[in-house]
Amino acid sequence: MSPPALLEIRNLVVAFDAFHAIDGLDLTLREQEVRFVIGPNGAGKTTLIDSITNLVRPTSGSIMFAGEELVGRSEHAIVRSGIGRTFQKPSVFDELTVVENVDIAASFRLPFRALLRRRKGMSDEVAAILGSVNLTEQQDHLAGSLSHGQKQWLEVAMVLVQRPRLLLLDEPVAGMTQTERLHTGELVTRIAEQGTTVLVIEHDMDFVRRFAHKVTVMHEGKILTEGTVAEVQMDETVREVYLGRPRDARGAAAEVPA
Amino acid sequence: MATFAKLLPSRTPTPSGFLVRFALMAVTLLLIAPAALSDFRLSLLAKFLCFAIIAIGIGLAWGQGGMLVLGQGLFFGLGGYCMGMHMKIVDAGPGNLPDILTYSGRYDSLPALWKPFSSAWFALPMAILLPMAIAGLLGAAVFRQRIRGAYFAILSQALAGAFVIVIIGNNALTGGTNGLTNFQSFFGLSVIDAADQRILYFIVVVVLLLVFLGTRQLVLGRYGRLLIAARDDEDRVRFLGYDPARIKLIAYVLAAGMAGLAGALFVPVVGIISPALLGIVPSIEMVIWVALGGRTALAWAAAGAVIVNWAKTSISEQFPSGWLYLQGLLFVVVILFLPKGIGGAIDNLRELASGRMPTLRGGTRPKVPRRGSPAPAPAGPAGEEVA
Repeated sequence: MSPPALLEIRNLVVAFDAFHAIDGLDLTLREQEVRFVIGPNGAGKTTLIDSITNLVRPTSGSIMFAGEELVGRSEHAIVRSGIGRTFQKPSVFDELTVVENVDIAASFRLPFRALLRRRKGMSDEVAAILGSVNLTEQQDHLAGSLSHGQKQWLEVAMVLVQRPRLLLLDEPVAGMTQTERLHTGELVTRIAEQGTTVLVIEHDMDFVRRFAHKVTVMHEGKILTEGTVAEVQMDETVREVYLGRPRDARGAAAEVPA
Repeated sequence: MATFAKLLPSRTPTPSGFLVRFALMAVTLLLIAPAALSDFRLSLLAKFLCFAIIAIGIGLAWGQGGMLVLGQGLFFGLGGYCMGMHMKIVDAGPGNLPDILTYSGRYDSLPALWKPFSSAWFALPMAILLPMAIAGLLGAAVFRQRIRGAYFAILSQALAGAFVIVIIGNNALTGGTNGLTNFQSFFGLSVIDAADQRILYFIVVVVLLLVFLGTRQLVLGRYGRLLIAARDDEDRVRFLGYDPARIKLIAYVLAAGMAGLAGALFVPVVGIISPALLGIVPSIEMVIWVALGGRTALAWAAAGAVIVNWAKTSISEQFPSGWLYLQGLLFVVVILFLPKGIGGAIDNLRELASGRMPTLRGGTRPKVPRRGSPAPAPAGPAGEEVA
């Protein structure tokens, strides 16, 4: 018996004028699932996350999260209902320190009166999160001084500290070193074990092979196929989609899943 | 050296350093300046300190929140006219019309717009609340539509321009281009008497110090961190579950309230409020004070207002038309070489002296500052708003 559905996307269409970035997509995520979404460039992967969080407005269709419709709600209301996301380009607040970055993320449910006060020290939760992303040493550095990979971790920490039920990660290991990738993969696995449902967009097939349980392949705004890594790799249409395209600027990113 | 360093605000504030600086500033303003300055100079300083209250608001909205508020003259003027109307009514005495309303021959009794301002209980709060309400309406509409940068600046400036047109267009009611002037008294104080002017000076200093402390508290709290966050990456703030429109609105409304409060104090101190003091050009000058002083530190923003106006007065006394050119030149110099104003330049010198590299916006900086000068900060998000 599979766990109940947390996110149910039905017949989603996102159109930019005549171009349909997402074209009648259906997707179901169950509680505590870790789902990887792969696909060639322009398949609509990031647009999928953007439309769940209302960064782009869906043209039609329905996105149900824990039994509630998300389409038409404001971005911050969607986040408050329990969805956290990261961006492809890590976005943290460069002029605040690492711990301040995590602290304001952690304070998002505080009443306004409490926001007027100063931060007193660091909560155990913030300290634990900083430890889990290896940023304890840098906690008082300005976030702007971090390396690219550290910024990505900081952003993950900011989202994690909010304890979302659904976590959307947009290419979390892009630009990371091999050790950083491994660490990130382990972190994602641990997050999922603690009960968070995770959706990961990833280009790096090596990373997908190592950490994915279930993979969804997107192509031209639609779901091409879903299954385990092995099943997807055997799929003829998936091979066609990847081989049918010339290697693009991302090079290895568009690598054939083999 | 260490004790001297305490006198200048640093980027990593220590509580004791702040207390020392604040106490020194309070002593200078409350004891030294009244003893050292003539009545005339002291009353000029009072005027500049009113401007410093506006500058603190601009430091909050622009420096911390990235909103280029090019129309603060509107709020300053609203505060000034609220207070001016009340003082005019009190000067005229019960049952009499203020002189300004008799010139047109149109009014036999107080017009409806003036009537409520007979009461100090109405006029005083309105001087602050009316600017806040108007900023609230404008800000709510603008920030919700995600209008930013130059568009917001132009909109706020247009409102200041429109306000001047309304005042001049209704000269029978408002005194037109002459504004409101010839005041006699302010809550029992004579605005002409030198001793009473000194009391007014102390009132302005106390209000300024309180506004500064309150705003500083706000900026250092979590709300202040959020305001910087919303300035630098609105989307990230949104996707952390906050509404950046609301965060920015609060700072904008508070800045408007401070400008209104400054206007209400300016009228008894200077004895006039007129459209020439609050139109587009004066509004731009207000931003220049803050740009010169340093927009990212409230104390430097306030200091900018005093420094620029002090320089303006001294130089105009020597070379009547010289100031305009110098102001233009100063502005160019600040934009090119001191993007964070005097305050930012001093920060850089301190960090250079203490052996650290200046990291103005926290990003990666060239290891060696070129030409031996502090590396100019690349225009960050707040800087882009100017462009």
